Amino acid sequence: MHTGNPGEAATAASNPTVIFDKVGMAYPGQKAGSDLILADLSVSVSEGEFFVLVGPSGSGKSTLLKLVAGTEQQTEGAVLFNNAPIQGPGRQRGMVFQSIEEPLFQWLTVTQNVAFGPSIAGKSRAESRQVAQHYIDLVGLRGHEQKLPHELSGGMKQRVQIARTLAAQPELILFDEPFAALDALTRRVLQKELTRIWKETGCTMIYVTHDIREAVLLGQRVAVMSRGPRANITRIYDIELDYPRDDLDARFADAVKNIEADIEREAASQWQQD
Amino acid sequence: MATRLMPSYGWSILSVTVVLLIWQASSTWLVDPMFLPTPLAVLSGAGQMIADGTMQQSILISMMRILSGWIIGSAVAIPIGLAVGISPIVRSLVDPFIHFFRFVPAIALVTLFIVWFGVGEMSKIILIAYATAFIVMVNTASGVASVSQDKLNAARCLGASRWQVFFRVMIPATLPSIYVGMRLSLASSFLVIAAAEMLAADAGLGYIIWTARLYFQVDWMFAAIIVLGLLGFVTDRLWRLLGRTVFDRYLRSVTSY
Repeated sequence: MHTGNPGEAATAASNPTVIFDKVGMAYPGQKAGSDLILADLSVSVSEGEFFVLVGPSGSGKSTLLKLVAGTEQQTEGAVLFNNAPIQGPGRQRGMVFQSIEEPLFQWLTVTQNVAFGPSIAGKSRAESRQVAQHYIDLVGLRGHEQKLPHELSGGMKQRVQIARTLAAQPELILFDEPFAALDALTRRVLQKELTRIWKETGCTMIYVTHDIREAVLLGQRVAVMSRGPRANITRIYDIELDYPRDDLDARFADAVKNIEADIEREAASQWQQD
Repeated sequence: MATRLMPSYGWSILSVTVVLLIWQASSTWLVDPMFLPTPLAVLSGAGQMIADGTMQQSILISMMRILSGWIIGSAVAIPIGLAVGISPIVRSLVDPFIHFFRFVPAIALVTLFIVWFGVGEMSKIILIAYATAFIVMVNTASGVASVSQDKLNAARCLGASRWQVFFRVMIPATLPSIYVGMRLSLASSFLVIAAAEMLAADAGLGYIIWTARLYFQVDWMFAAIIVLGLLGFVTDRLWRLLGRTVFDRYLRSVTSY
């Protein structure tokens, strides 16, 4: 397993889709001079990559995603997507949210939810439905097309979110702990399916989690973030295991152990500083 | 809930019957029926008014006023409420007026509106519209403000423009609040119409209640009061039925009561 510091990783990434260049972030309304959430963060994600960010809560992982989504703007440095600065949200950068209830349009059926992207892009009703059906099948929701969100289980709702994001045909999908609120069994099934969906669509994935096992199960590279304020990426691990990954494999366990030790060290050093 | 002795409306019928019996008993033995006529006397009073057509005419006139005022008031309030909820600037501009006028009761404005708009239909309809508007406005604006940020961000990340977010996400997501606001304001329309018709009208249920005192026809008062209540009850049920059928998928969170 190869590990390196974030600076090396940034140069190593081939054909970068997303570039963070010395990014600092403080939310508006924060006291002037108060600590940044993210500070001096540089990293790049290459096209088609499955990139996972793992770290303790409050480390600014979600903030980092929001900068890529364009729903928040960094206060320092630059965030580039296909070499252009990100200005506001766009169809090319999809987002799957942690919340199970809120992101779905509860007045629309599964098909109508999934067809939202194609439909607002100006596709005809028939065409939008056709696109929607393709992704409904891909996430395994066939037979539930006419249901409203309240008729679905939590896992199915997250499938709808994923299908809806895919149907807008983004180049990049951001995942903000999408399975954290699901039961362990459903989570396991969806994790497995996500790598299959990634392979089938070829989308670039940036996935945030605090679950190290999940990070190693999914990511080609796993970046470990330090605790905030002034959070940064402390280390990036290359996980060179074939998909679908087997969590009983010794190398899988090693990777998890290494990252865990790293995070514990990080936490310990923070305690000492305090 | 555990024991199903009878269907739920059975309990309602039972409670209404008991209250009517207590009323009948107290006006027979406890109170002078001049002041509290028995339910049967009220029924016969209502019968007289139905026979000569006053009741039907009054119902029609009062309902016309209520519904037109309610619809006009809502039609004005909803766009303003949406704008206030969305734009911080509009909010700052309009907020002082909203939170001033919503505490000025419509009844306090009855005479002023008569001076301004005359004793005709206009003054009453505007009064109802006034009473409706602030309730609907505040509900709409707070509905907009409580639409989840995740929902709006989800739409924007799917490629929706600001207008598309507004029409395809914001408005449908705000419908429950608009619906509840209109339901609440319907009740206040009934309060206001009675007052308005007492002061300046030559027809309507409020007019009946007011003029009945001249003839000391307390049974007419009761008949008109009960009809007002029944009309309110029926319109509220119809509004709820509309919410549970046509708009069910938008309103499921708010139609359970």
